[in-house]
Amino acid sequence: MAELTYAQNLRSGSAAPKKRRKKAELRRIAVGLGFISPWIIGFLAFTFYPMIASFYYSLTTYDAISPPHFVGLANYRHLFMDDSLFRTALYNTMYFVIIGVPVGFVVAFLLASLLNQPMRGRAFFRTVFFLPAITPLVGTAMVWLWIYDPQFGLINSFLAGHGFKAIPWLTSTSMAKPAIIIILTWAQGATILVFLAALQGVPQHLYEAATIDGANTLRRFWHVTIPMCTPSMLFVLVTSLIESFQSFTLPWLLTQGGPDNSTELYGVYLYRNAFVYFKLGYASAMAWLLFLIICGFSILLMKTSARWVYYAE
Amino acid sequence: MVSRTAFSERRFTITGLKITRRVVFYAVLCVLGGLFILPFLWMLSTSLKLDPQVYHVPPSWIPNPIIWRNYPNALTYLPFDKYFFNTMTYCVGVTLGTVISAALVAYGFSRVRWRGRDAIFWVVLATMMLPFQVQMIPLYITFKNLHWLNTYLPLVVPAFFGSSAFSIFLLRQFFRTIPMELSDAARVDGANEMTIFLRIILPLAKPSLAVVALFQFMDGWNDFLGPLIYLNDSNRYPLALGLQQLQTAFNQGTIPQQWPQLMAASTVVMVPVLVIYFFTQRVFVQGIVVSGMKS
Amino acid sequence: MATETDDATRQPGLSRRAFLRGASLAAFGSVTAACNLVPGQENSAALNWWPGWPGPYMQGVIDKFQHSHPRVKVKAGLFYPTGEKLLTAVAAGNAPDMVADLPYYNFIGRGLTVALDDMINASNDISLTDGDIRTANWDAFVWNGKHYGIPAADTAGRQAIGYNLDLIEKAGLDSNSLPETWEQIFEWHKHLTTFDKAGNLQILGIDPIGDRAGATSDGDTWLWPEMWGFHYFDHEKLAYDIDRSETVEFFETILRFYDQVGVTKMTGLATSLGGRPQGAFGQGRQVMSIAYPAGPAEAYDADPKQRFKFSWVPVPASRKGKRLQTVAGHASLIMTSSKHQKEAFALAVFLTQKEACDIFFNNVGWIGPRKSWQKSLNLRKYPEHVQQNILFYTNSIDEANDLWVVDKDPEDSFLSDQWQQAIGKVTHHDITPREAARFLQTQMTEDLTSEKREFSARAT
Repeated sequence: MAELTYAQNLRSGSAAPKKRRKKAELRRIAVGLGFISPWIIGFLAFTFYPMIASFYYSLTTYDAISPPHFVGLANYRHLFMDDSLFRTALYNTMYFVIIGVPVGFVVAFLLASLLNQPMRGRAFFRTVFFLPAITPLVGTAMVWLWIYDPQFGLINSFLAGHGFKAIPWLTSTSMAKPAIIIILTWAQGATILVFLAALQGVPQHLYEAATIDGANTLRRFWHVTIPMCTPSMLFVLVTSLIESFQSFTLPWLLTQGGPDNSTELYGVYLYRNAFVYFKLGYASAMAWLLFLIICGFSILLMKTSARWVYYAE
Repeated sequence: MVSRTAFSERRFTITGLKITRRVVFYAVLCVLGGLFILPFLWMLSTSLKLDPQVYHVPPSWIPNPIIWRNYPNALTYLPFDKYFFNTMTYCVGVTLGTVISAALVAYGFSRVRWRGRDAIFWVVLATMMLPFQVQMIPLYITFKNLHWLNTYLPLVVPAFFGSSAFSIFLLRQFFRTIPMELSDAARVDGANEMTIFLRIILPLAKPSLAVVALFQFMDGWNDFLGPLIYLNDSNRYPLALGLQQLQTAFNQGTIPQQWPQLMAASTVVMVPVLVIYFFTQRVFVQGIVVSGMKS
Repeated sequence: MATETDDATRQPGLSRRAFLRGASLAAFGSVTAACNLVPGQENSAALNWWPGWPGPYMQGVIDKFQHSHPRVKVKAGLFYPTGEKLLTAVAAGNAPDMVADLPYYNFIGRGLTVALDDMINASNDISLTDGDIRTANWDAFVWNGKHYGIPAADTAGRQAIGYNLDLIEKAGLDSNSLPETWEQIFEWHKHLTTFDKAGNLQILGIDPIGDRAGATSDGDTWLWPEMWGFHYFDHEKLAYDIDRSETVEFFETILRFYDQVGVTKMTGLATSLGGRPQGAFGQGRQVMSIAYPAGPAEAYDADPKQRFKFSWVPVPASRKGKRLQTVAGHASLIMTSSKHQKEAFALAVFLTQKEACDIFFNNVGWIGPRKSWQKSLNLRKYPEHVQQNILFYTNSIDEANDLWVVDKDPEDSFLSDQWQQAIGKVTHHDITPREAARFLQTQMTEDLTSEKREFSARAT
């Protein structure tokens, strides 16, 4: 029926139905834009404008009280040439990205694989592993501050009580980063769930086929499980990378960047410049650089993903 | 006869091996689970201790005596009732704003076919990658000029304008699973898009709206950086900042380190979230899974 | 989930109505709640006060004040850290009327607080000249010839070093000949510091930074330049003078202590127990501590059984014999934006008077600024040795032969931060004391120039 009408239209070649179609399309665009208009307004006001403004502020010095002074690229120059703490912050952040993210990733995947075994009480254990992830970060920070307490914390008090040397968790430059990575790994629940779902989504017949081909457990895991989970892995990698570059709350609450700047992450140093020193211009320059860095890493991941991510369809 | 014995022996060892493997498996699981749950138990235990017992070396787990008054003491030392009210205002505002705006926007991205839709949706997805730090400073300045600082408006108003790309994404995924025929049938009956949205899609989407609401509520409850930047009067603080302030107060030493009270307050801040989670587990897990699967 | 969907399909009308009803109700709720949280028109006599020191006793002070000033309603904000939050509040236009306990000169220097001379001169309750409040206390808040602060609680002399007499005697040292120089303190420190078999720190001699971790934070002066006898900041020329041999020397002094104990162990103890008088020092794990005037009472409250003695802070050997004391401490500042400056002034004056000072002293041991009150101080609550310690802080202002008034640095909170940076780097051997002195000088000078900070009262 529809085809017929279409054919008739073609044959007659009249302009009216075309116009009508165009009108209908315009109407659909209007309806679509209408529905997404809240987002458009929000995007322009709370995302697009701030991004542009942020770039402008990055070319000024501004303390929020007296008006901004235009200084050109001075902030960027200072960041790259003179600010050793900025380099420290960048190094620390890369440490979290390069060590913290993979550690969390591997632990989450192993735990998910464990939960994927045929077992009783899966829901219970899933809850146990997931609980830390929904705990408010401030609460998490308080609890771990207490666990890591150099003298009376759970671990050190136990060690000292049995004649061992205490571990300087958050008070030494060498342990502070690993100590925070432990907490982040502990709070990996969401990743575990994502992986678990991916694991459960691996079709059973693939395993069966592999078994028939004589693959043992390890080989099945390597050649079936992991390739089938790569799309979720990409997702987890990208999100945890972005989170890692921005992390602020935990280091801020646990160490305020100390000891000796060993946990001064990018987000912490940016916040410090913006809302402790009120160098809003300088902090804006940092924010823009952060944006470029994150974009760079995400694009890199996406680009290489074609090589290792396996899509079933 | 001989062969039969051998066979049954072999079967026996296989089951034996299986049992050992099972035992090891559950043992590993329990140890790991224990490690994950330990911090919570330690928090609870400390929150009920008397101060001197906190400093026992090596640590003791069972509070003796049990000090319930740590809880009222911690919660009245700073005005936690106010913090709770503020948090609720924030969470309810954000949740409402997000649910309403994200549903509308997601509808536009999934149930109406129009040119340019998918291109714009890519922009929505891209905003998820944008670090908050980039917007933070100009937003602070804008809200300052609007005289919105030290109110919850900077935290709540953007939610009404689809600030949660994640929620839009989640709802869009769900809306797409609803058969288009339902909408088409209604269109034939002369219903306009708003009617279809309100009468057909929204009622069907209640479970996914619940997921979004839940996530937003939790996000609001846990948010630290936002309130830290925009609020400056401690009477307006949410629980997250209130808890940190309690710690600072103890640290600054107007009174000495008070781990029991701090742990009591931490417990109180955590419990509502954990309770909500227990009652909504299924919805919750599903939300996370959807977000992870579809990207 | 499936059942829910089925229900919804069966009764779309109902659920939609329910949804809308719920939504509109909730929207209404959130709007009213939001309005509630927007600062409204303040009552003409509502006073917003940020005292900085949270604590239940604060309400007692407010109640007393409101009793004598029934027209004024005081609302106290309670939080840390006030410096940063006050700047955001100023930017936001919701600054309180009166503040205390923050980096004072950050705000005085930027012209954000009011000169109080006219109000003080017109007042019958407080005087710049009658000597009840020491001239030095007034001087601590003079900027460009005008008075910007009314001295408040915890404002006696700022410096003394406390000794735990029990621990000293147990270690076989003579509590009657206390160290006078940092060299002597170091000898005592070596003698007093003990470790357990596993190498964990048991008793610490002294953390030379201790509760003075900040350089000039919130009412305390940067003690180290004074001990070495120089001013680090010239507030008339707005110039820093930090990169000098004395600075190198005190960094070296600090480093010796940290090297002797190990930096992680040193900071670890303070992390657990706190560097304040009621921290490791009050709990008998640290023998010596440089403390502010509330120290004696706080240490006593931490453990009443221990005996402490507070005395003159050590100086370098080159300045031996100097009995050093500093006047800085806390004051009430009234913000320029305040619409209730008169009422705020009344509260500031009230805080110097007996009623308020008694509450502070009885709850936290803070010492009020008036000589007449200090003389009438009822110390019977404390044993003899604690009384002497408390009196040391008040009397030492008059007995000192090396009296300092705080350096007036409008970037003092930034200095504090950079000082902590420098200490961290030096004690971790990232930089040498020599480099640390230069680092501080560069950071501070750069901050003044490159950020183009504008100070209202640049001296002419």
